[in-house]
Amino acid sequence: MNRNEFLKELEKRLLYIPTEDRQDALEYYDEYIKDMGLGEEEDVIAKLGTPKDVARNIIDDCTQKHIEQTKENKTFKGKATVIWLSLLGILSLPLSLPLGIAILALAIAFVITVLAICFALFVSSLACTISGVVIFVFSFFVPGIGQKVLTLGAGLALAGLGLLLGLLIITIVRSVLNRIFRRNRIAKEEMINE
Amino acid sequence: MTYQLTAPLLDACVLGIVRHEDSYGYTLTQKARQIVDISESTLYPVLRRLQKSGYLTTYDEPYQGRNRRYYTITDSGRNILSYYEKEWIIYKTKIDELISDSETVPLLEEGGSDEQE
Repeated sequence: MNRNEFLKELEKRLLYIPTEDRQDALEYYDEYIKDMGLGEEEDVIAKLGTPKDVARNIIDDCTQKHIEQTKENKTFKGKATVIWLSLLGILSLPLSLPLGIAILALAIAFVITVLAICFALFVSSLACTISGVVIFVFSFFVPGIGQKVLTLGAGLALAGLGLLLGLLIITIVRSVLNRIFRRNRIAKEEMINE
Repeated sequence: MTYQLTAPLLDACVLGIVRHEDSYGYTLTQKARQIVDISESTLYPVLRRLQKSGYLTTYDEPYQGRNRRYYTITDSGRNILSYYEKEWIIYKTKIDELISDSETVPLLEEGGSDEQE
């Protein structure tokens, strides 16, 4: 890989960092390779390393820099940049970036789906309970002892079912949340211990 | 090289090189590489960091129809370098005391490390 190819590849890998940082890095390495005194067509990777390694070095540093900046002035944009750069650091190659975004989107979709299901079940349980109570009250105004008993029973059964369902969902959600938070707490404690 | 170079030590090395004469990226790297085991791409982030902290500034000088970016040390760069130098001498002396063959092994303070576990 000669100088031009190297720089093009490096630029591709730095496409997602701030323009100013990218420009500076490209200028530095352009100058650096020229100073290495190689011919126009000579390979630069043997001495300099692959564009991937060089890019990773730059992205890591860039992330660090923005984390420090964000600590100083807590702007939303700064935080977003840090998250964005961290993501870049993890993915590192531009090729896997769209793939990573797809996986992230999938994960978010999954979480939203689970939340929606929980919410739906909760609403149904609420509806069950309310309609059960309504039917229970309604049973006093129905003519005939047979009908009274039927609606009374139906109302009570429906309300009971709704309450049970609600209780079940609340228990499940709480235990899941507990587990997540406990894991976080353990992770934090481990970090402090280290 | 047996011993690892940490970030502040690397900063100190770069500042130490630039203290004597302004240099550009390539010669800086080569000078450092004569002594410490670093890759060709190690110094770019270091230079950026030092520049951002105000310890180094740059100026461009034309060379064979293109520009060469020279790094030069600032006053605060000299200050931090003398701090690094002092710290290094203290550290070096302590390590020497620990590993050297002489009998003057520093005594542990009372109630020191033997209380662990």
